[in-house]
Amino acid sequence: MDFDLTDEQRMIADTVADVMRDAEGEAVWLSLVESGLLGMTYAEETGGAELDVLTLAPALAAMGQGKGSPAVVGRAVLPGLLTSRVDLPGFDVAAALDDNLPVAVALPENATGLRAENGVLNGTAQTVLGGADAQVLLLCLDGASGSSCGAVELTSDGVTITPLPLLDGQVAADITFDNVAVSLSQAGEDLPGWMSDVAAVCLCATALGAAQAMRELTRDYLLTRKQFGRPIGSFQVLQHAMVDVFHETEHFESLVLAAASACGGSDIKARQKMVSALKRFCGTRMRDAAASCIQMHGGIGTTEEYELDRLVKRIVMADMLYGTADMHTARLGQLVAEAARQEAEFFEMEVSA
Amino acid sequence: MSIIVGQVAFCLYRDHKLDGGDFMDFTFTQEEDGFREEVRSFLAAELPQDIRETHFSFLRHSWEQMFRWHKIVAPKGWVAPYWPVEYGGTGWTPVQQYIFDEEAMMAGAPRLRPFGLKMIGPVIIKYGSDEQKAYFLPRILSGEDYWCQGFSEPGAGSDLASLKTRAVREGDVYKVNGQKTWTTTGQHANWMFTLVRTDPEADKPQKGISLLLIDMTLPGVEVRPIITIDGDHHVNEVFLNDVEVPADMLVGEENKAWTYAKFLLGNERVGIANVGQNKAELRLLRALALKQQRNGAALIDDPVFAAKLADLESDFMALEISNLRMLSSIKSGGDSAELAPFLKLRGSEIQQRSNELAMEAVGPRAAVWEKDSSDDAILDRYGTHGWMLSRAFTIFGGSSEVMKNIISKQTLRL
Repeated sequence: MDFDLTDEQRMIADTVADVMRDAEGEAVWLSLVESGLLGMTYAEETGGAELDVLTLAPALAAMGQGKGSPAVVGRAVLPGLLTSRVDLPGFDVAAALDDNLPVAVALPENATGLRAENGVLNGTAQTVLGGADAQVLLLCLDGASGSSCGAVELTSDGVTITPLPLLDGQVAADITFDNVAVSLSQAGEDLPGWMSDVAAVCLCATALGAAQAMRELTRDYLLTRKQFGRPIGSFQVLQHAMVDVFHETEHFESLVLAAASACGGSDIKARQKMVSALKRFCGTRMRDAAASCIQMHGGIGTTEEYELDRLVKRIVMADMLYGTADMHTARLGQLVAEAARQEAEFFEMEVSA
Repeated sequence: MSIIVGQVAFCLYRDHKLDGGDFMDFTFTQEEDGFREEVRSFLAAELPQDIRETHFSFLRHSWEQMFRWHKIVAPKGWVAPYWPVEYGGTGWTPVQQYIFDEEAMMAGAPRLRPFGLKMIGPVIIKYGSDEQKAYFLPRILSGEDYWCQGFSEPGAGSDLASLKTRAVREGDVYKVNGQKTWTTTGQHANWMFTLVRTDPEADKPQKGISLLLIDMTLPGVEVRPIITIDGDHHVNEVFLNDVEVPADMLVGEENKAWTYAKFLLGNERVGIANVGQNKAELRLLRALALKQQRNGAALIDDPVFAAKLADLESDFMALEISNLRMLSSIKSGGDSAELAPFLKLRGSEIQQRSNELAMEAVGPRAAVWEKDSSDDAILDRYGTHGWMLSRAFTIFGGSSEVMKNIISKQTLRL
């Protein structure tokens, strides 16, 4: 057991953080391309570095501390992970990476309004990260007849892209298809679930960085802001609130790392349990921590101009996508009930079905 | 920005992977897994069936069972893993200590009582005289002596340094007068490590305090029970009236005991979050929720209860990993001190919530209140008694509020 980052992992984290720290809006794409980070999760044989999720998580956290946009998740991380695990008919991964082709990924939660029948795509893929200027949309879907994957050109006739500015500054998109041809191939049963879990971990990792920065910012504010003739950090009620934020952030880091590690493992239930524990924690305890930091700041904490604004929004944002806290609490509850039924033999009891 | 930046980092990563280098690793090592097996075999062979059954029947261990278990583990040499090997410790890493605790709790064993093993033992090892070490340490290990803690007083709780119990040196003895309270299992103890005031004139209250080892059978020592809201007899008042304590029962130097007390309260790291016990109690809670019915289905499938349970499991998982992060940082020489107090905070909170859900799971039967505070009573039902008992968890060993004051000052430097 070793919870320390290796020098290589630290270097990757620092590199990603350096490149992405101040990249906003369109500059994100340029930074990704120019630094060579675009291929960070792509398979080695297609020209990528094949980073695992556990190495990626601290890097995304480091990035999340700065101004950098989490658009890197939708534009680079998810396409690389998907293409390294499944062949997509008609999509040349190596060429796309070589040409810096902008791609995005639609996962099951984006595709609830999408229908693929007889090789024809209709409906809307919703809130696709990196979708606003993507030229190819990679699909990773689950359905009654199993999991399927494919790639569809967004320059085709019948495709409408509607950009959607998101809470955290990145631009996603609704992508509507009107009788667009698509070739889907069967994928491993767990692939859409795995991709969704990894996406959730990646968002939480950027939120972790934001939470760490938020913690430091708030602590500094308590030490410098004076009221009643002394720093407000000398008041016990604020000290205790600050201690709570400090603790929640430490626990959040533990769950981010453990969930990232579980995404590299073969135990599906263990991964689902850890990711759901993380997402529930993010959407409840970390959202409360963010609200508490606004409260500790007083009026200035409610202004858009102040640095706290984007940190809080990044944390709140991480709850929205790839399963809210409620959805993950429900999934965790089911997994816990399953575990209880397996443990029942210890208790020599009748198991109620 | 040059493409070189990313490529250099990636090449290093790739080479490191090809070389089979170390990475952050959330799995136990082969040695640790082997150790776990050894612990499991020991528990399977040595843990008495009645003790095991007590746990798996949703009951709490009696004093007799706890102490019997101590005397079974002692000959194996495993009761004091955190002591230096030369005094009877095991030389285990913090992770091994954690594994032992986890396995013992999951097997249904009682916790080994901490007062001798975790509290005064390490203080005697660090600050005691050679005579004190030679006499007391083997007796703590064997269970021949049983210790209690004489710290709190009616007027000195969170503000411990304001304690008033007075010790005056008269020839070869200290004459001790005062009152201690919340003395856990004091009714069973034959020794009490006791903070006393030896210099009332010191410029700070912390400076005039000494640590005495008091034989509970001395004339003038009187123990009176305090029955707590769970209906049980855990704690006591201890009255000290002209008790003559031999001067060689002073630990270290006179008036320096504040340092020793801080060491005593601060050196507990491995068990502070109660992860093993929390894990075992959560499993009990799951089993209970599977057995109980609500609206014709297992309670564990009820959406309201399931959501509460999932919340608790999520917080517990975070605690378990944070605890392992702390233990592995001790192994690699890191400074874990910052993590310990908040693990205590969250660990005690989780125990309370686990007991709370158990009480809710028991349903109307939780209203039944049986009371038997005799020594061998296995009564504490996993339900209302547990909830009542658990209120103390965020009070003893430093109340949550005092812990937050400490963290605020020492870690956040506010």
